Amino acid sequence: MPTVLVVDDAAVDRKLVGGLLAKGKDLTVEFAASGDEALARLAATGSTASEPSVIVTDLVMPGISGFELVAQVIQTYPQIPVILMTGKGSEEIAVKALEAGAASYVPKAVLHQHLLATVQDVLDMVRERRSHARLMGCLQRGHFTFALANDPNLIASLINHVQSVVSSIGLCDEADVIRVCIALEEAVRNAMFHGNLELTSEQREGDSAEYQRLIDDRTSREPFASRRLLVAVEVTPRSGKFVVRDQGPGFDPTKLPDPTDPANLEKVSGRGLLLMRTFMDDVSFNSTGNEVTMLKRCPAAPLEAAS
Amino acid sequence: MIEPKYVRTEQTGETLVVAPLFTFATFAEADLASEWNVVQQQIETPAVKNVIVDLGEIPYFGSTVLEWMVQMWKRVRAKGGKLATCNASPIGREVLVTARFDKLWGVCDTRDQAQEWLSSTHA
Repeated sequence: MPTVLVVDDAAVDRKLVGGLLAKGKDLTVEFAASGDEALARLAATGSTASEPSVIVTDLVMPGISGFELVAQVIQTYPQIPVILMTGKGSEEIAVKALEAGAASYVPKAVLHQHLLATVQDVLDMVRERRSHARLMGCLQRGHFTFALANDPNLIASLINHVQSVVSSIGLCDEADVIRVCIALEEAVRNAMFHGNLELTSEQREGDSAEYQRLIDDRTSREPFASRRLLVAVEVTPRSGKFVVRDQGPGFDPTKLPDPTDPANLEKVSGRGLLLMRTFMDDVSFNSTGNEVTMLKRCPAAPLEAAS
Repeated sequence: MIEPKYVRTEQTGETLVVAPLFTFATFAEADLASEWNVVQQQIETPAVKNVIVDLGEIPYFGSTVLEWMVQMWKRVRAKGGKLATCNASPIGREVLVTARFDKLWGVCDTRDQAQEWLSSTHA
């Protein structure tokens, strides 16, 4: 049975909210009189079955405010959604709390009409998210290929997707997942900007507005516009293979200056390949330099697993 | 006034504190370039001598933030100032050390330590 933890310093409001939630089917309602008490309750339960499924908190409280509670819960218990109850005049803080990760908010003036429905909606979302996490936990092999246009705004979505798959399949710990994603982002940015759009490091080091104009110009002009970026990912619990290919003229990676050489230390660009080589187990280019293959092995897997 | 989405700045004395707010998960090139231009203009003002890059808002970063830092470092150095970073996550610190940036500027744990480093006689 889902547990709702209600956090409010005013006893009368706790009673009101408790009464509203008691009308819900199969809900257990618990109370905390402050943010500190709520955090102590969370620390005591840890990630156990008695952990609350959702927190409903007042925004304005002495001690830890609802906003601060949201921030701390997001950081330490990201699986627990927080719903804020807001008073008149606190809309701006509520917006900030939503931006910081609160799941929803209900103005106190309309608690009767909306609180229970909002809690039920958020609980449905939690159930779906947990179910999806369980499903992804069963994933044995992820294999997908994207053919991307030269739209920089796609990079974040691509990396987020890869992050989710690599994390779910358990190839490596979360810190290594981030390292993999940093390396992949560098490879994709190199391929898009230096490969397909043929933009140079010198252009990048110049005026950033001018550089942006160059990107806009080339993404709409041939031969650059029709070039595609191929990103192929194959990941299992034992190994990950990440191939990024552009349709530009390629380059000779052996001629890139070593950014850690003291002579090159002050150069603005040139660190992408360094990060790729540092964070992946193996990085290799094809003979024309327009395709990079990066391998990541599960730390516990034998070496041949990623071949 | 529009709240910055990708980089926040605040000035303390003659030090400009620059806090990147984006990772690869939150990214829009054109908007990013626009906010970065504003930061560059701020650094050029006479009131700014030193820069602290506070990395505490982002758990990780790649070459875009590294490039920004080198550009900022060059700008403040040209004015006779210094740059220090602070609050990097363990992976962030790993990236800084991998790129050997700890040889160029102060890599500090906290903003106070960064401020102390700027006040010291380090090159």
